[in-house]
Amino acid sequence: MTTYPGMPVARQTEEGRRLPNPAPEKRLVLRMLELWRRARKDDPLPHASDITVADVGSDAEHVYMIDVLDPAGPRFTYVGSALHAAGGPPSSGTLVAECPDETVLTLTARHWREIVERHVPVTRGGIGRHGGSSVLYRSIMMPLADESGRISTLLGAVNWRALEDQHGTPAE
Amino acid sequence: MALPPSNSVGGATRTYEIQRYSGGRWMLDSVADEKDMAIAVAKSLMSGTRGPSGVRVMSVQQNSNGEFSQVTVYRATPLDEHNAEAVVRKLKVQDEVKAFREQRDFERKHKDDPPPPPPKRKKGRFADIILAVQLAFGIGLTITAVQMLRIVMR
Repeated sequence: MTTYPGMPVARQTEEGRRLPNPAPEKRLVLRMLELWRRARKDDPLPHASDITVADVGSDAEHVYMIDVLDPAGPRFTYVGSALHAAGGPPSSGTLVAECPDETVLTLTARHWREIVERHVPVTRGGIGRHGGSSVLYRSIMMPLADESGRISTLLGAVNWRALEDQHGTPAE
Repeated sequence: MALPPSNSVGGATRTYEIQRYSGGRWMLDSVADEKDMAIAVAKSLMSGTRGPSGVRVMSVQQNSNGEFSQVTVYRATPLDEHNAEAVVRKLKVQDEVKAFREQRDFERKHKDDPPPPPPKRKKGRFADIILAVQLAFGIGLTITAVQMLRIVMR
């Protein structure tokens, strides 16, 4: 198992019985999914107004949001700084269709239609190109609804690691 | 659910659907393209604060001719957990009974055996010296007697 500094370690009692780990989930995808589930409450989908970028805390730099009701086509309304820095454009306001190739943002956001049709979160991962390097990525996109219950926004998150960097941050 | 699956495997495409049991039926919760990720999502769903009464992961494969096939690759319900605990308890009791029987059989088997003979006492070095003195004294006495007899016979 890959570990990194500060990673919580499961505790044991003196009798060797394992205690539940109280530390937060270390995988970005599962953290985001838990946030989405909590916002959903008893509704089929969470309302777009129930989740903001501020709610995702330190994960915000790996998060993006897409407005799927824009007349011109799905459009980014938020792109986290990590996605900016590594892949250059796009920024908020860019159409998904204009997202440059060979970025993890394109790898995940181009599947927006599947989430709209299935009405459920979808996780994707694999190997792709990002910033000129081969990366192993893991992503999730989750639907958010407007007041009428129609899907209006997609909340996505993605992280990755360069395949050459075997000792770097583990892909979650 | 006739949607294009996420993962392509040898001409067929495969996805993993995480389903939750709610209101007496299985409902689609989320979709993943990898089995391990799907099971991790299912476990997180089950352990969440508003966990359902059951979760399962279905591997859904669509062949190139459009045919669908699906199989359950993971399932967890409170009943499953209860059954798993019951199996562990049963195995533990079986082990205890087996150990008890082996102990009982061992004791029965050796119950009618004669008691082992007491260990022989080893003679000490002092006893050997006494024996040597006795032998020497006896030999000397015999030689003296023979000499006296020869003197008398002259």
